[in-house]
Amino acid sequence: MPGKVPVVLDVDTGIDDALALLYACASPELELLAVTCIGGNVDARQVAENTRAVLELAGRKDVPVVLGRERPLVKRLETSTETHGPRGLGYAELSPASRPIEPDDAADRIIAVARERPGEVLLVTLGPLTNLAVALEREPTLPRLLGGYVLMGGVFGAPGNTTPTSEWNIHVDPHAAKQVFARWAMPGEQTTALPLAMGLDVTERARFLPEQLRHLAVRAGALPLDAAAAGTEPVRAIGSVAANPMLRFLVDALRFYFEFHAKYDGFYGAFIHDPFAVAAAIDRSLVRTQPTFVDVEIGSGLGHAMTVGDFRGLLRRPPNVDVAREADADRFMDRFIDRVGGFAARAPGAAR
Amino acid sequence: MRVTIDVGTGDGRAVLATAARDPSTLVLGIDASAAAMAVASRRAAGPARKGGLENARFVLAAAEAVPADLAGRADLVTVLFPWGSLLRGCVGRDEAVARGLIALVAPSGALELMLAPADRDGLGGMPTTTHSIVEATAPAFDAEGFQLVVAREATPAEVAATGSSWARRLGATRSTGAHGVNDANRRVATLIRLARR
Repeated sequence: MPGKVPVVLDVDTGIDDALALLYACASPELELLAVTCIGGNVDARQVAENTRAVLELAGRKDVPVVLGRERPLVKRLETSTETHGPRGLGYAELSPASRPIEPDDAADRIIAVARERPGEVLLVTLGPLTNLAVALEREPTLPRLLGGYVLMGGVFGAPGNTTPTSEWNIHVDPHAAKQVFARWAMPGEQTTALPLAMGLDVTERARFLPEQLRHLAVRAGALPLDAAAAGTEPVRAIGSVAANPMLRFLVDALRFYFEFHAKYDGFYGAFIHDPFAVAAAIDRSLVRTQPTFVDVEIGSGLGHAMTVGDFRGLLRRPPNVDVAREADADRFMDRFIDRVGGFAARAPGAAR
Repeated sequence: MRVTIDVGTGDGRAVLATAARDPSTLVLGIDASAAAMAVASRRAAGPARKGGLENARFVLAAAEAVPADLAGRADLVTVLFPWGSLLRGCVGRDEAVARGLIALVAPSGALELMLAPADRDGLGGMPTTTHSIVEATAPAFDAEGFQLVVAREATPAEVAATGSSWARRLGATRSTGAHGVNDANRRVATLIRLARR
């Protein structure tokens, strides 16, 4: 359909990646060309499983799912089953995907779609930057071929969530992140649009609470009770009994995420980082940004995997990243509830 | 004509391989030992039917004292499987060597390092994992205006494609172990590319 923005999502699904996939599927502005997979929250093969299962839940069997590199460029792969559950989708159980993974490689797919529609394709990365780093090595002009690039990653001027100085996506593959940012800092790339970085410091403003899940359930056409299995505090509950399969998935996945956040972040609810990045990619008015020189620390000290933004211009280097400094989390949250709830209402098997 | 300079070229096989593969690039090999380069140098200067290559030439010089004529001339400087002071220069432990390498690189040029030191070489505290090699190399060149654009383990195909005899001799061509876990005896070849900012 003309007027839609062609988009590739690079994911490490992951609970909030699943929410971002649903948000993307629910967004009329986007034409989802492909979803590429990278190890992070869980290993890359499990990511590909989860991603296909979520897309099938969303009725999008047509979207190609492409596997990427199965380990970081330099480090060993770390995963975070503590955050996302043993298989990455919390307590949710989805039917296994019915179709195979695409035969090609994620980095090659990103290059191919960008070449096919030069200057049009929006890339959004929600996991470690390994696939993009590989793609940039194979096609150094990729920044000019893409229509835009948005990442959820890093943390700017705030504490990390993996170490005191680092955010998870960057921590898993800091070398890839360093190489990605370096490409936009090359002298030849100064005229291309800068990547938009949605760091933790802004995505953590999007706190999704049980109350919001109930709003979403109502928007999905369900009774508020259907969302009640998510509870209001960390107690082991039974699985959701919602009739709507998408709502059932959301409740069971989010309950795990809520419990994790209750344990580590002091509130029963969850930061929904990834869909916020997708929402900002669609609508830049959700964020206020500052073009900044950004680099990544790869040394092994306390600052390992820290994203360093030179907000005062002390290094006198041209900006290579447009860093989100402020974000309208309330507006995003309303939109998330409206879009994903509305999408669930239209989902196959939604009729009560 | 694009210019590639291979520093510490040794027997010069990598130069001949690159020159043969890409006739539009002038490939210069530099080494402090004339004897090592003699065979390759003679072959390159000979007739084409005997493997002569007009775009391959050799220069006798140490990395820390490269000829001023070559300053800023290389679109690409390669250092393949170095040892001794050249290896130390690549990992930020010999400033004179690093300065020599940097001096060769043209304003928009790049520096490519293929490093494969291993613990069994007895190099005395030299970094030998890809992680520690990159950690040592990147800041040394960052301070000189170079940014890291590639850093990863080289593939066996890439190691073979260098044409370097050292690659084979060092046993760096063996493929990655299962799941990428480094076993102690496996020699890892690390590929690093740095570009001028």
